[in-house]
Amino acid sequence: MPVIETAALTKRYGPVTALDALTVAIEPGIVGLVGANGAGKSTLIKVLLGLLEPTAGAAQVLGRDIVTEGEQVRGLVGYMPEHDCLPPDVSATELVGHLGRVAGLPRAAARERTAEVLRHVGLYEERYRPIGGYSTGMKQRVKLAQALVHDPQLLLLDEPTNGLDPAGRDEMLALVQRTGTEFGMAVVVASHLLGELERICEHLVVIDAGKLRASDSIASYTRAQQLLAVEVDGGAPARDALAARLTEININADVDGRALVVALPPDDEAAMYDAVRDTVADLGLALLRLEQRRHRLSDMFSEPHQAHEDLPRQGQQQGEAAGV
Amino acid sequence: MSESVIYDIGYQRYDGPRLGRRSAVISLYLHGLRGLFGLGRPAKSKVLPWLVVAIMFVPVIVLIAVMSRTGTQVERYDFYPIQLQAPLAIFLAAQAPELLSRDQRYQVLPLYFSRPIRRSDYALAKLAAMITAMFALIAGPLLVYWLGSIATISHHPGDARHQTAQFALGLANGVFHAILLGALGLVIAAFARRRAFATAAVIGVYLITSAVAGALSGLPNNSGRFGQLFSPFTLLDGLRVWLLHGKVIDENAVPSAAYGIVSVLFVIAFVLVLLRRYQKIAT
Repeated sequence: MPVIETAALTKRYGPVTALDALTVAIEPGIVGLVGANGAGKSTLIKVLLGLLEPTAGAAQVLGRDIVTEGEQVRGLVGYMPEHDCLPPDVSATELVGHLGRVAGLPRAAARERTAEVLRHVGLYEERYRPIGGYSTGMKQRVKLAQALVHDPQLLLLDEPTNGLDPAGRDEMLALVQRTGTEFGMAVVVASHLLGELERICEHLVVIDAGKLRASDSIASYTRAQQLLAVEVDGGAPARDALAARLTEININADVDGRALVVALPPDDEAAMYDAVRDTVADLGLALLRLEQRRHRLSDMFSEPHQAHEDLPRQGQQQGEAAGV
Repeated sequence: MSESVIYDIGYQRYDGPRLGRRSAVISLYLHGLRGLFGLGRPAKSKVLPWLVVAIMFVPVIVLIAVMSRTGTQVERYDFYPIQLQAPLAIFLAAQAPELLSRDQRYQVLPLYFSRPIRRSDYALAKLAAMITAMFALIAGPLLVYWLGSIATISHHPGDARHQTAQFALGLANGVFHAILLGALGLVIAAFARRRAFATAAVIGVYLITSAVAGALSGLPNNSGRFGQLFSPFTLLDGLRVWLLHGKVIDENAVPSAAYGIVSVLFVIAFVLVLLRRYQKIAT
């Protein structure tokens, strides 16, 4: 059963459409939600949690309707917001314990689980000090801890590595991965950084301008993206001659520095190797390099997105402009 | 085993009981109440609330000392909130933002509203915490005064009964104060993200309405007397006199029931505005 299922889910802020009839089913596991800033990731998460009201459409989380059964949904889900959300004047222990109780835990259980989750996220003695004095990395850990304290069935993480240095990112990603795999918790990680999601996710959902662009396993993305790089001696003229000849025989070659790159059809890679080798031989060129290249996922989604970069950031800024 | 070993048992699943909204709201209420008195907060958050607590208790201690010397009742039970309006106002202005503005400023609301409570639960739990704190500030000293009166000037059972009846009226008066002032403070703090703005606004409301009520009362033929209904000081004083003594302060002033009606309307309006604010607030 999918943990999240939306049907033509739409959210508009005045003239801006943040979610545009989005229909997607997200299965258990660690799932990445990818898109540029403003693509609708945060809006989707907030609508699922009932923090924002959908304009149209419907959605279910863990089999429960987000509008009519919002309270049950929120009892089963843990949410880590993108932005800063921690009051500076209380300790992590005080805050996480309190939020555990608000999530429905009895007092003793809240206290016990607070100690456990803070240890799980790697906060030790500092958990008794006011949060205002924490580093960004520690704050991100507290944000994750408060999302975990009531042991949710589904974890919604919005840009969990925001503001972290490379080492902090690695630690946070490892923590998310461990939480998802060792404890079998369904995790949805929203990020604009594909490289991060690639490392920890089993499945990717790509949204752009509030629409679903793709939803597939990481493996199938990378399988579809095997490339062959060819480099011949003779510089740009030789390279371009080869490109022209390949185009004649219906092989599309892209220039990448001194090399040419052609897509490897997943069903018949050997034929492509042969065709390229034969073409080079026919032209009498000296083959310097012929190597399989594993395309990074980011290359798939980079091209047509620039148009949306300047979309206003959805989420609280928009909501505030509209509502307050 | 000779040596103790610490095992990192790491993350655990939880399959114990999950209490519902009621428990969540109680937790919000208690957390708010603790915060109002700086409990669970750094030392500097404790300074102001406990200073106010001290100021509220000093007069009763003096009064009890005087009563033990003279053997006669000094002051009545309804004096308390009236003569100590200033520390009450300071507490309200300083601590109402502690409850509401802080969560807005640091964007804590999404953490609450993504949990199984309603937005109205949040607002009402905070309101209940504010009212409780205001009431405690009034009722605590009154309790001491009552105990002191019984100890110093009650010589037979009739005296003690009289003291107790007066104490009950004093508590009732404290309830009115706590509800009206608590609702006023929170409705203002709900619209200020910054603590300082909320504090200034609460003080401002006190000062401006008092000034206006004072200026209106100076108009000829008592035509400005209804201004009394719109300043917290004079409204609550009128309400106190009407409820506890059955008469108004000034016989040819505002009809006495008006104080009661206006107070109720104010409280209803404040609560509705507060609820609406949290229904609409962006998270």
